[in-house]
Amino acid sequence: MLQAIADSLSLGSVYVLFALGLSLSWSVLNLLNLAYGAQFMLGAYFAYLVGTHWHHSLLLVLPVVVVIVAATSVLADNLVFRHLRRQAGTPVESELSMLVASIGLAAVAVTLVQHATAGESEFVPQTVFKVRTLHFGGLFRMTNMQLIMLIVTVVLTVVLAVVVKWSRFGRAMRGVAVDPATCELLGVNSNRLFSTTIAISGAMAGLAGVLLAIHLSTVDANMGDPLLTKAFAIIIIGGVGSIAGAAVGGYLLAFAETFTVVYGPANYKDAIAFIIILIVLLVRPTGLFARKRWERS
Amino acid sequence: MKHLPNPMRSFAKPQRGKLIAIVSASSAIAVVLAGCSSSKKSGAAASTSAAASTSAATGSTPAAPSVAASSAATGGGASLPASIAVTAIQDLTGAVGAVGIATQNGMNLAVKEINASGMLGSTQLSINYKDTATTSAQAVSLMSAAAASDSVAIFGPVSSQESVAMAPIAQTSKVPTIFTQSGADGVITAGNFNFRVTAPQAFFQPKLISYLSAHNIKSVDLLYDTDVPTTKGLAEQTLPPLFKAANITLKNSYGIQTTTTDISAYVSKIAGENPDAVGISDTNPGVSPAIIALRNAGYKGLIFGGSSFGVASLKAAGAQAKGVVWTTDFDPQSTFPQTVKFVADYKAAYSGAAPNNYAAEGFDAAYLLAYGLKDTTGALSRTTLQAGLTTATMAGFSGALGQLTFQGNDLREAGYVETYDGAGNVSPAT
Amino acid sequence: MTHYFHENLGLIQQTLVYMILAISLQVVLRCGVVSLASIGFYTLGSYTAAILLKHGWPAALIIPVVVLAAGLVGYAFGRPLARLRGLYLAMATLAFDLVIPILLINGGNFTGGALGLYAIPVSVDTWALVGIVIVAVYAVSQLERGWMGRASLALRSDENLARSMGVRVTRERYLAFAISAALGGLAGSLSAMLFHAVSPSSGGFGLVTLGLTMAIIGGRDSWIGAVVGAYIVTWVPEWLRSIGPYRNAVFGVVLVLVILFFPDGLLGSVRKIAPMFRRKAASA
Repeated sequence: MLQAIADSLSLGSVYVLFALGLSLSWSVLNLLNLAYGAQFMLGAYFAYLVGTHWHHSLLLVLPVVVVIVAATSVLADNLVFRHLRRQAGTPVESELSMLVASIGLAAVAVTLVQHATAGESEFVPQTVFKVRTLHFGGLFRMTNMQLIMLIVTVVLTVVLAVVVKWSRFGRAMRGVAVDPATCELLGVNSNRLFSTTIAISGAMAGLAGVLLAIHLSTVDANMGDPLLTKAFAIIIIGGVGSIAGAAVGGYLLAFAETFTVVYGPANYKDAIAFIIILIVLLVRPTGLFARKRWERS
Repeated sequence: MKHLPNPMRSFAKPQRGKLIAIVSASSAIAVVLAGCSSSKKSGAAASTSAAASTSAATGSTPAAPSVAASSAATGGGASLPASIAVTAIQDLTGAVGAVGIATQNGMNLAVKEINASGMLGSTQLSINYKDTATTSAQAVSLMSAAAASDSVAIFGPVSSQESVAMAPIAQTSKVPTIFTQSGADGVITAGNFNFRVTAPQAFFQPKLISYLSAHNIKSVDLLYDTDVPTTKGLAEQTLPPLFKAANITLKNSYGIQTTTTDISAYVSKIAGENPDAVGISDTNPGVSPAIIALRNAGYKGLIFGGSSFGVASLKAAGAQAKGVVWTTDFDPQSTFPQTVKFVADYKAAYSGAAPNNYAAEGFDAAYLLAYGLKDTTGALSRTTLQAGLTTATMAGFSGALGQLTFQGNDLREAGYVETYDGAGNVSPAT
Repeated sequence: MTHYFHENLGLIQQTLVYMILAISLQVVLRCGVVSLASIGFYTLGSYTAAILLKHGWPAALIIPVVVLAAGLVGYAFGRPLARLRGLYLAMATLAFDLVIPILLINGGNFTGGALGLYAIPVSVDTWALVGIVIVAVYAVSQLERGWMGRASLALRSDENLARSMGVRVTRERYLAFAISAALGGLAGSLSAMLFHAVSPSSGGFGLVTLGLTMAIIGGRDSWIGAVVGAYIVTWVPEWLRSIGPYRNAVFGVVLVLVILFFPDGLLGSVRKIAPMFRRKAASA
């Protein structure tokens, strides 16, 4: 039982760590970035590249990769998203065009990496980080990376939630999503804010990529897709507009899946995720913790 | 200031919409006509066969093109044209891209050797590759195109899902098609124009079971992919009765999906049950992570698997994969002369890279075509080639995989059991 | 001529089927209803047709049955989902699209599991296919004319304004859902009748992105855009085949460029440019 809980926490951290950046971008920027999975994968890929060629430890590899992936976000925004926002007639059109553009960008990234790896899967070498199993008094076990991921996830969730909700920067971010014109009048540079936020989202994708590549022992051009679909589930369950909600949703989903495997019909684990989404959407469409009720009804 | 679209304006002049429709339609027709008048063909046709096939194609069913016999003298009972180009529809990108590329490498090596050795007399063989991107729809449309082209034979992809959709087309269009991997039933049962140069995994299992019995394995757990037909069939249908017959208890089978990212829960359960051996029937990205997770969970027993194991998929696990065993159709250290030559030639051709079983299968598939061409009697056509291939399979031949024998159009092999030393080396398991 | 036709038969058939899929998406996107559910109905339609075909039902009976069933289910779905807006609706319908392959994989022998169903007899000939596509496209084009057409465009620009103009917003949305579902089911059943096999992997995320690309590239405003989009999306990869492994990347770049520089789709941009020529002609 305790092991099942430990595994649920581990799985939950995988999901939430991945989903946080996406949740940020969606809740705050109304940007459903389908290239997020590809950015995550780039994080994993660069971790493999940097780790294999320069044999440095995680402490060095992590910041380098995070900066690289954040840069891809800023690049995408400057070259593509900014112009789309300007051109769009209605918010829905803006969201839709950015969505479609992100699909195109994802295809570019995935194809390039697929070609570079010749379709094979790689892994981050142990010189970057050695995964060890930790035993907690014979009651349950976790690897050191699982523990790190859990701590990082919880800390990041709290920090992000606090910043978005209470800091001036957070208020500005939220304001820009609702009404950019008024914000400009109030002296907020909405474009720069968008760029900064999307850079943070990208940084988180990169962070998740590095840590998960080590935890999952694999780097593969298509590794972003399954996690992306899970991230949708989590964000919808938790409620858009709430970072904490996404985290709760993620751990909830992980618990549901793990306990299904351990105690129930294991084959339906994935179906459970989507059925939960549909139920939440139909019964409580605002999600468990959403704040922006007006957008849903 | 943002400009909102005026919904009324778009319909003020319906004539304009009609004008655009007419323009689009006529330009589409123009493009189609332009396409027809140019000699664009998919899958390069032999120059001698081009004239014959255009006059032969009639009605709505593509007729099997007959290749005009050239005067080139060749070995065997047929007068083969100076050059033969066939289409290979392969998964070169996408989920199983690595498998497709390895197969392609093997095929290219074989073609080079076939041409250099004069096996087909002065006839030169060449292959045109089309990428399916591991999508069924793409594979099917490529197949229809290839079937309607002048390609006298077709090489099929490795994915079962695509191959079962393509095999019926091969049969109705009467074009000999040679598949590798593609272990599902529907590939061969679709008809006698379909050939397969990979024995279904079910045939390798007896050797594995003997190995397990010999090492006192009394209980096993299985971890497999439910959304890959071959692993699913193996885990759910083939293995259970074999275990039972060998008095090995199958404690539990755990089905995951190729999209499952974290298997901690499954691993904990398996480690908790602690069977004597764990079978991982998992597609490539999953093998090393599964082994690492099992070892980290404290599982110390034997780990075994199938064709998804190999140096490439085990390297990530490193020392933790020491001692794992698996069945495969290819033993790179076999002393069989053809195998030894293949391994050496492959390393020479591909900068020292060692071949895997997929490359060996591709190699032998290309050779099957060559033997089939050699055994073709009369003028080369799809039907005579099919007969030639049947003759070749009945005789069997020595290939990279070993001494190949066929049952009908399907390869049969007892396979090998290999083991890994944790440091990049594969050797037969004893 | 016939040689070209036969060589590219698969591609031509694929284009025609995708045209129906494209208009199924375009029909809802035009109203501002971001529903991706028609892809799910495509998958369901293809499996239903496959199963019925294996039981010996004739194609002529299967098609109307599937279309009707899909339309009714789509209408039923439209009711609870009508409360959702914008990307929330997109997410809900995407979830629907993604859960269907999972259910199909676990459907045992009935759905053929992971392999799907194969050896399905070809039950529709190309001319019948062309006829069906023409009928479907014509039906949709009629919806774009007159009062109904204007109403749906109004819906997209500003819902409240539309409501104040007398447009019955919720009813429009249900109808759009139903029609989109029916068209998706139609496309799916046709694909089963043409391509010998159905499998869980033929639906899902890949098809969603494909369909979305088709609907957007051509232009959301009219059926012509969707048809053009379907043609481009099916044939451009064919032309790009010489680029080999980089094909998808080039495709992605093209998609981004189109979205950036032709926001109303290629057709929309043509429409914008056309009056400029008229004006020039008039002033000359």
